[in-house]
Amino acid sequence: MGNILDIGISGLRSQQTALTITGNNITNAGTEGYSRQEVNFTENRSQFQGGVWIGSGVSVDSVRRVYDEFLTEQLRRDTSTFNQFNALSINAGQINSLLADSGTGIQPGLENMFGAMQAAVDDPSSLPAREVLISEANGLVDRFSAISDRLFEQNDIINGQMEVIAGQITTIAESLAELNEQIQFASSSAQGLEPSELLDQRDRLLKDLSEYVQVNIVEQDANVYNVFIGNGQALVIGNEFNQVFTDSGAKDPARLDIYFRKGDSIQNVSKEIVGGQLGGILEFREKVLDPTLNQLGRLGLVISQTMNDQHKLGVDYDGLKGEDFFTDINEPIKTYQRVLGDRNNSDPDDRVISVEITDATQLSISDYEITFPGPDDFTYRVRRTSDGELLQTNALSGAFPDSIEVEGMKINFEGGTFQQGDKFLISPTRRESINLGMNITRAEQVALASAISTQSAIGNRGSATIDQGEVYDLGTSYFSDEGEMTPPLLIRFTSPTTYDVLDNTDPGNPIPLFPPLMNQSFTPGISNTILPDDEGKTAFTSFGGVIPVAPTYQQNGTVKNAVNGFFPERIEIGFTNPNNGLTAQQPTLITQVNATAKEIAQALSKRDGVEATARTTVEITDLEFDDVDFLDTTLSLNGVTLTDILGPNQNKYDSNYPADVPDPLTLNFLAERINANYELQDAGIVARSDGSTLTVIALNGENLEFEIRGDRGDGFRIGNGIDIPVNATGMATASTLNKFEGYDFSEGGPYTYEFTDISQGTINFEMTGTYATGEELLAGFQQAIENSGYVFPGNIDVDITEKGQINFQSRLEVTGANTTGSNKVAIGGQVKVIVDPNYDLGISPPGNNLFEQEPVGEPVAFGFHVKIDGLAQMGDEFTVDFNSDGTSDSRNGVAMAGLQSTKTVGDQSSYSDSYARLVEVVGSVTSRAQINRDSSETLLRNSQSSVDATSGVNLDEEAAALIKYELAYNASAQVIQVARDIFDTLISTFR
Amino acid sequence: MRIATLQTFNLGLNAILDAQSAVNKTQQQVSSGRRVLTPADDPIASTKILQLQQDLAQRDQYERNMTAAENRLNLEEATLSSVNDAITRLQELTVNAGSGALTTLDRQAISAEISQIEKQLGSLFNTKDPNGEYIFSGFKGATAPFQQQDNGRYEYQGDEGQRYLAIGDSTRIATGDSGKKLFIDVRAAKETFTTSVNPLNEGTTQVNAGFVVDEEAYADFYPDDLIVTFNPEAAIDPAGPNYTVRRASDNRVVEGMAEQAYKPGAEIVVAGISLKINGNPEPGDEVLANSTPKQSITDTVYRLRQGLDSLQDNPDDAATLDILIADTLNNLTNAQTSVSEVRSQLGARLNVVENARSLSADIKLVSQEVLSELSDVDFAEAVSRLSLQTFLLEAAQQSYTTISRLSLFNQL
Repeated sequence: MGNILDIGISGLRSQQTALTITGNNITNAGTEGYSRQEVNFTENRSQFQGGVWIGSGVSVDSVRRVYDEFLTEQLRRDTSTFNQFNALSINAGQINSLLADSGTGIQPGLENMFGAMQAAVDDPSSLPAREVLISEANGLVDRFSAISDRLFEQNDIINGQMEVIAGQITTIAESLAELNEQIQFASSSAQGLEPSELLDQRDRLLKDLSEYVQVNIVEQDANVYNVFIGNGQALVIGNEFNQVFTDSGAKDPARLDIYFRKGDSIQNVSKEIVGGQLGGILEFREKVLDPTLNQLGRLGLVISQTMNDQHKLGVDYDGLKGEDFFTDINEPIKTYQRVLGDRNNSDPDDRVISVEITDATQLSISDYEITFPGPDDFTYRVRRTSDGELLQTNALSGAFPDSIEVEGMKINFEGGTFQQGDKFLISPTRRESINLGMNITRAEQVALASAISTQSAIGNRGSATIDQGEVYDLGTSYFSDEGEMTPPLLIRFTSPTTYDVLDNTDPGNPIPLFPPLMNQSFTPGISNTILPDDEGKTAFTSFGGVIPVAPTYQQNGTVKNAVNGFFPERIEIGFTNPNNGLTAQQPTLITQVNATAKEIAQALSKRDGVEATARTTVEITDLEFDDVDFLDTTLSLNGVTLTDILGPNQNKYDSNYPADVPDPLTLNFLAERINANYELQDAGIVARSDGSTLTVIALNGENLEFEIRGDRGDGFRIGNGIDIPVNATGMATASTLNKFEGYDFSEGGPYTYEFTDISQGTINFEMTGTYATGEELLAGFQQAIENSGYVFPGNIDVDITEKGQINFQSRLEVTGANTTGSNKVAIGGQVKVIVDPNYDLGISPPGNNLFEQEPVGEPVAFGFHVKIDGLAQMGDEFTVDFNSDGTSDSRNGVAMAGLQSTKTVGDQSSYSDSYARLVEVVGSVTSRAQINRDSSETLLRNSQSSVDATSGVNLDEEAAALIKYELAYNASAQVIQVARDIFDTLISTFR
Repeated sequence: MRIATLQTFNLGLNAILDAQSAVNKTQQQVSSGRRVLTPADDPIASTKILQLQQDLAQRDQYERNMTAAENRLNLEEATLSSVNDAITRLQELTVNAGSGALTTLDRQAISAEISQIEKQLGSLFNTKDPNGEYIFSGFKGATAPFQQQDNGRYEYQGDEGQRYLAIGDSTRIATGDSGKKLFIDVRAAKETFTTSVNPLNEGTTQVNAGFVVDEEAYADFYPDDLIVTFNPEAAIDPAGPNYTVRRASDNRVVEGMAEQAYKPGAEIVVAGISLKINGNPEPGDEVLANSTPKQSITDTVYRLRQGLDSLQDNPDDAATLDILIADTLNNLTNAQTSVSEVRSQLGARLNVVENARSLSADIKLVSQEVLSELSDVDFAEAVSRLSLQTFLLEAAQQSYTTISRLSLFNQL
C-alpha cells in the first residue's frame, strides 16, 4: 500500500523532472551552442517480499548532456579553416579587382602612355603631342600610387585587425581559464557531475577562439581544458592564461607581428600562427600583399630605369641632353628606405646601409636578409628570403663605404658598429611603386631626338654610306657641353680600306683626336663599325718625345748613338676587384733607360688587362743653309740618307721619288723622299710637309733619329709636335695680335698670359714694352716665356695663328758639325696605355719624364656608334656631329616607344607581360582562396550539421517527449489515485 | 538521421543565400556582357585578355601611323612630281638656249625664265607638311632646307636625317627623304667641286658656286680640295684683307696664291676653277672648295643661269657655252633620274603600307574574335542559366516556408 503510493510519487517526481528537462530543451532550442539534455530513468531497487521481488518505483538516474567530443573538435577545426580562407579571399579579392579594373589598373595606364608616346614620335615637332605624353605618364604614375596607396592602406587595416584579434584571443583565454576553474569547482561540489551550461559556454568560447586562430586542446583531469595555439604556445593551462599581443614587426616596423608573453619571456609567434582569421590575414600579407607590392615596385623600378636610361640618350626640343624621365630610382632617401635594421640589433643603433639599384631588370621580387652570424663582427651573409638561398658570404673590409653587388643591386655598408647577430631586411622593391614619380614637367623636356647626326660629304666618290648612328652614353667627354659635340668627328678614308677619325672642330683643319684614332682598317662591302666599343677601358697617355738639351755629336769613324732621353720609370698596374673592393698590384714594371716607346708599349702589353700602343711624332722646321757651300748637307732619318743622288736603276725609292736634290733643300723634298723610301715605308714612317713644317710620324713608336752632316751654318729645328697654347688672363689687346705687325704693351694692361705644361703646371708671364714689328712681337713672347721660369730644352718657338691664338713649342736647333763628324738627335714616342675595367695605372716615385706622377686616365668611349657600309674611296669623308635643331627627329622616341614590347623585366617579359603575370598570380591566389573558402564552408556546414544532429534540439522530438512525460505523469498520478482508492476502500470497510 | 530544428532553418536559409549569390553573379555577367568579372574568375584568360587588349591598342596605333605615313608619302610624291615637271621645262629651255642663232639678249631672256623656275624649285624644295615642318630638311624640320643667299645661290641647311614610322612590330617605313639625298647628291656630268664657307668663320664671307674654267688643270688637281684662308691685314703692304690658298691634303700653299689681296666679288682662278668671294672676311676665316663627282640641282641651275647671263657672243664664250649647255643637259637628266629613283621608292613604300594595313586588319579581326571569346559572356547560355538559378531560388524559398510550417506543436 505504502509502496504503491511511494511508487506513484516516485513516478510523479521523475516525470516532472523529465518535463522540466524537456521544457528547458524547448526553450533553449534557439540557443547557440546549447547541447540538448536527456533524462535517464532507473527503476528503484526491488524488495523481496512474500517470496517475490516487488519493484519500488522509478527515479531519475541522470540528466545527460548529449554531446560528441569528436564532432565538436571537428567543428572547431573546420571553423578555423573556413575563417582562414574567408579572410584570405576577402582581402585578396579586393586587390584582385583593384589590379584588373580598367579605372585603376596599370595596364590601361601603360597603353595610354605608350599611345601618347607613339603620337609624339609621329610628330616630334608638336609640343601638344609631347604635352599629352607628359600628362599620360603622370597618369601612369598616379595609377601606380593609387594602387600602392590602397595596398599600404590594406596593410594598415590588417595591422588594426591583428590588434583587435590579439586582444580578443587574450580575453577569451582569460574567460576560459576562469571557466576551467568554475567547472572544476562545480563538478567537485557535485560529486564529479559536470555543470552542463558551463561546458556549453566553454565550448562556445573555444569555437569563438577557433574563428580567430587554430587551437589544440588537451583535456586534463576530465574537466579541465588546456588550450594551445601555434606550435605549442600554451594559451590556457588550467586556470592560468597567457597573453597574446601585437607590436611593431621585428623586421619591418610597419608590419605588426604577433607576440606571446609567458611570464617574463616574450616570443614572436607570427610565423607559427595557423588557421583562423589571424592565419588568413598573415597568409594574405605574406603571399599576396607583399609580393604584389614587390612586383609592382619592381615594375615601377624597371619602367623608371629603362625609360630614364633611354631618355637620357636623347636630346630634347631645346637641344639639351635628356634628363631622367621619371624620378631617379637612386635618390639618397630611396636608397635608405630599402634597408631596415632588425629591432633586436644590439645598441648603439648606428649602422647605415643603403641599397642602390644598379640594374632593375635583374631584380627579383624577393626580399633579402643580411645576417652577421659571427663568430666575428665582420663576416656577413646575404640570403634571398623567397627561397632562403645563400647568395654571398663575405666580410667587411673595415673601411667604409664597403659595398657588394647582388642580383641587380648594390648594397653599401656606409658605417656604424656592425656586430655579430645583426640582421637587416632589404626590400629593394617594396616601396618603389609609391616612389615612382615624374621628373620632367615641361613638354620641351621630352628627349625624342637622337644626340648625333651623321653626314656624308658631297665630295665622296665612293658609294659608301653612313648609318644614322646609335647613342649609348651621353656621359662621355664628347657630350660634356650642352648642345654640341666636343669635338665633332670627321671620318676620312686614307685608302679604300683604311680611315682616320679626326677632330673636326675646324672643318678647314681637322686634327687627330686625343688619343688618336688613325689608320683603322675598313672592310669594303660590309657594314663596318667605325668607332671602338665602350668596354669600360681607360686610356693613359705619356708625355711624348723628350727634346734633348743638345744634339749628340758623332766623330767621324766612330759610332755614337743618339738616345731618346727617357728615364727609367716604375710603372704599376693595379686591379680592384669589384665584388669585394680588394686591390692587387702586379709586380712593378721598370722601363729601361732610353727605351723606345715601342719597347715600353710591348712590355706593358704583356701585362694582364693592359694594351699599349706607341706613336712617334717629330716636327722639323726652319731649314737653314749658310752661304758657304763648303760641304754638301747630308740629312738622314733612322740611318736612311735622304739627300743622295742615285742613278736611274736605284732600288731605294719607289718610282715617284724626286730624283733631283734641290739646293737649298726644302721640307717638301724631304717629305717626298721619306714617303718614297722602301725602308721607311716598311718601318711605318710617314711624312707630310706644308712647306714650312715637316711632320714625320712613326706609326709603331720607334725612335725617329735625324742625323745632319754639313756646315755649322746648315741646320734645322726639331720639336715633338705638341703645341702649347698661351691664353690671355689680363687685359685684352686693343686689336687681335698677329705675326705681321708689332704691338705696344706699354699702354693699359697688365697684359698677363698663362700656359700649362703637363709636368710643370700653370706658368704665368706678363708682356710689357713696345714691339715695332711682328717679328719683334714673336721674339718678345719668346723672351717672356723663356724668363717665366719654364724649364725647357732647346729654344722657344712662338707662333700666332690667323685668328690670333698664340702657341709655342720648344724646339732644338740642330746644325752640321763641319768635317769632323755629324750631329744626331733621337726623339722618342708617345705611349698610349689602355687598361681594362677595374685596372689602373700608377707611377712609383720618383716620377720621371714618361708619365705624370699621378696619371689621370681618360675613358676610352665615344658614347655612340656609327657604321659605314659599302665601298669607299680615298678622300671620302663622313662627319658625325651633334644633332642640333633636330626637332623633327624622333629616333630616341622610337627607341623609348620600343621599350613597350622589349623584354625588360628579368630579361623575359615586357612591362605589360609582367603586370599581366601579377594579375594572374593574384587572380589565382584569390580564385584558390575562394574555392577553398567555398569547400571549407561546406565542410563547416557539414560538421555543424553533425554537431546539431547530435546535440541540437528537435522541437518535434521534444513535443513528443512532452506528450510522453505528460502521459507518464498523468499515469503516475493515477497510480496515486488508485492507491488512494484502495486506501479509501479499506477505510470504508472499517467504517 | 536526426535533424535539429535549428539545423532545418539554417539549411533552408543557406540554400536561399547560395542561390541568391549565384543569381547575382549571373545577373552581373549578363548586365555587363563580360564573362570574366575579376581575374579570379579565370586567371589565365584574364592574363590573355590583358595581352590582347595591349595588342589591339598597339595595332590601333600602327594604323594611325600608317595613315600618317601615307599622307607624308603622298605629299612627297606630289611635290616630286612638280619638281620633275620643272626639270623637264628646264631641259627645254636649256636646249633652246643652246641654239646657235641666239644672241646674248635672247639668252638673258631665257635666263629670266630659268630664274623663275629656279625660284619655283626653291619653294618646292622648301615644301612644308600640314604640321608646318619642312619635308626635305631631314631632322631639322623647323629649318628651311634651301635658303637663297645674297648672291642668288641656294645653300642646303638641313641634314641627312630620314624619319621612320613603325607600322608593325618589326616593320618601319621611311616617311621622307632628305633634300641632300634628293637634290644635292646628284651625279655630275663631269668632275666638279662645291664651295662652302667654314661654319666657324667670324666674318660675313659668301662664296658663289664657281665654274671649272680649265678642265685639264682641274683634272690634274682633282680630287684634292682647296682652302682659302684669310690672313691678318698686316700681312701685305699696303695692309688690307688678303688670303692664301692651300691644298687641303698637305696644307701646302698653291703656287702663287700666298697672301693675295682680296677684292669682294673679284674672280679667283686657281687650279682650273674660278670662284667669287663676297662679304667682309675676318682673319682666320676660310672658304672651302671641295672636289666632288656630284652637283646639286640648284647649283646646276645657278651655273646655267650665270653662264647665260654673262657669256658673250664671241667664239671663246660660245665654246664655253656649248660645254655648259651639254653639261647642264646631262646634269638635269641625272637630276631627273635621282628624283625618279626616289619616286619609285615612294611607290614601293606606299605598297608596303597598303600590305601592312590589310595584314593588320586581319590580325586585328582575329585578336578581337579571341578577345570576345575569352571575355564576352555567351548570352544564350547566361540567360538560360539565370532563369534556372531564379527557378532554384524560388524553389528554395517555397520549400523553406513549407518546411518551417511543419511542427508537431501545431497539433498540440
